[in-house]
Amino acid sequence: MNPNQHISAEMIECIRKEDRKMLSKIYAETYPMVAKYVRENSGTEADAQDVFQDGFYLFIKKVKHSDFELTSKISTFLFGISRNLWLKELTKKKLNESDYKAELEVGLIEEDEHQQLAQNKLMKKCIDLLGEPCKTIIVQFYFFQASMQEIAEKLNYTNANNAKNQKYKCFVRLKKMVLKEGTEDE
Amino acid sequence: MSEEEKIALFDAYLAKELAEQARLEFELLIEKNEEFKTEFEAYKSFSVQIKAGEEYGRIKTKLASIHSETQKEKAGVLRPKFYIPMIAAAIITLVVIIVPTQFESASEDTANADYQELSTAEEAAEDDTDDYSAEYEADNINDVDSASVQLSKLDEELTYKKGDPKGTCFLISDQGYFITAKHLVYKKKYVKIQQRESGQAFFTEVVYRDSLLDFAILKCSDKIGSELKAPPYKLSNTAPGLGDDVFTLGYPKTDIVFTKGSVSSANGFRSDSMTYEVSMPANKGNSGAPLFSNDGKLVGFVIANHSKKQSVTYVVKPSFIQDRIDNLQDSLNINMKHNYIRNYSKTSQRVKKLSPFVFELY
Repeated sequence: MNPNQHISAEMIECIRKEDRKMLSKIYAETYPMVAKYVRENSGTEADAQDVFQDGFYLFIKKVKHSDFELTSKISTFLFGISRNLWLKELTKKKLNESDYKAELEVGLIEEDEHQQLAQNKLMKKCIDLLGEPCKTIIVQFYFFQASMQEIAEKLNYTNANNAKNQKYKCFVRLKKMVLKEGTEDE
Repeated sequence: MSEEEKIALFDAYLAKELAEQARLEFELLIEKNEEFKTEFEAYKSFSVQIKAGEEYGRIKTKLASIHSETQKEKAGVLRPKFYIPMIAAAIITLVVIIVPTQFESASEDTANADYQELSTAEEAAEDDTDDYSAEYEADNINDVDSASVQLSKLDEELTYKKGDPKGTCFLISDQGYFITAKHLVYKKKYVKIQQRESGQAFFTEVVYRDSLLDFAILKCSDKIGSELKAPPYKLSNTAPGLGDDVFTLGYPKTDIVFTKGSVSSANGFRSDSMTYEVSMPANKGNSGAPLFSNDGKLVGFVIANHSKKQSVTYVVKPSFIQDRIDNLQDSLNINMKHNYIRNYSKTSQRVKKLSPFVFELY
C-alpha cells in the first residue's frame, strides 16, 4: 500500500471505495510535492490545496472508471494532474502564458475534464447557496436518489406531494442560479 | 403539460416508477416529439450534473478533512492570498494596534497609548499579536472531527436576552456573513449575536481574522442564513471625502444608538492608510459598528477612538474590506450581489431600514 509503488488491484479497490486510510496515505505522500511546486510557481498554500484536492478528485474519478490503467506511480500521476491544473489556472490568470503553454500540451487531463471540473465547482457552489431546506431536498433526491416519500418524512412534510412541489421550486431556483452564476463567472 | 408536470413525469420515468402502459406512451412521445425529447435530455443531463457536483463537493470535503489530519503542524486559520510575511505582519500589528487597556495609564510613553478600542469587555484588549496560542490551534484542528457538533451549535435558536453587548457587528451578505472588529472575538471560536427588532439570537462562527487590521468575519449557519434578508446598503468603492457627513449605528448600550459625524482626516491613527478618521463621539460598544454615508453606502466600520482627543474615531476604509473579501473569494466566497440601496427623504427613514441589519455582539 505504498503510493510510491505501482498501483495494485487491491489499491484500486480501496481508492474506488474512497477508503479513508488509503486516501490519507496517498495525500500525505504526495501533497508536499504539489505544495512545493505551486509555491515555486507564484501560488499560495491555499492554491496548492485547491489544485491538489481537485487533482485528487479527478484521480479518484479516473480510478472508478472501469478501464483505468496506470503505468506510472500513483504519486507521479497525481502530481502530474495537479501540476496540469495549476498551469491551467496560471494560463487563466494570464501570467506569462507563453511560459506554460508548452508544458500544458502534455495531455494528462482532457479539455472536457477541465470543463467538467469547472461545471462541478459551479454546481457545488450553487447547491450550497440554495440554503435549507432546498439543499437537503436537492441532495437527497438527485444525489442519494431518495424517494419523495422518504424526503417528506425526513423534512416533516405532511405528504409526498408537498415534498414534490417543494422539490420543483428548489430545482427551478437551482437551475436559474447555475445559469446566472455560470454566465457571471465567464 | 406544465413545466412542473413535465418534470414530475421525467422523474417518474427515470426512477422507473411508470406503469408499463405509461412508460410506452412516454417513450413514444419522446420518439415523435423532437422538442419534448430535447427537454427530457436537458433535464437528464442537468440531473447528472447535480449528482456530479454533489459528489465533487463530498470528495473535496473529505480531502479537506484529510488535509488537516495529515498536515497537523501546518493547520491554521484561513489566510488571505496576499503576500506579507507573517513576521512582518505580526510586527505591524504590534506597532499599529493593540495595547492592553488595563495598562493604559501606566504606559503613557508607549507608541499606542492614545489608541483605544471600543469594546465594553475588559479582557477583550489583551495582547493579540495574531500569533494564536497553542490552545487555539488545537481547537482548530478538532474542528473537522466535530463538524456535526459545530452545526448543532450554530443551528441552535437562542432567545433574545437583554444585556450589555460587548460590541457591534453587521450583516454584509445575505448568505449569513457578518463583519466586526477582531478584538471583540479574541480567542473565540463562536460568538453569540442578537437583534432586538427581529428577535433573532444565534451563534456565529469566527471564520476569518485579519492578520493586519482589527477586522474579523463571522458566519451563521446556512439554515439561519437562508432566513436573512439582503442588507439595504452597498459597500462603497471609496472612502468618503474630507468633510463628508457620515453616521454610525451601534450598541454602546442595549438600545441601538445613532451617532453622526464627519470625516476629519483621510488616514487613521499615526497616518495608517488602511483606516481614516472621523470626528464623532464613539463609546465602548461601538466597536464593529458600520459607518454609513448619507446616501446609504457602507463606508467602513468603527474600530477604535483616540483616548485623549475628544471625538476622534478610527474607521476601516471600505476599499480595505473589499480587498479582503476579494482575496478570500476562494475560501469564503462572500457574495454581495443582493445588497441594494434605496433613496429616502429623511435620515430617520433610512436608519429605520438599516438598523435590523446591525447586531449586538456578546
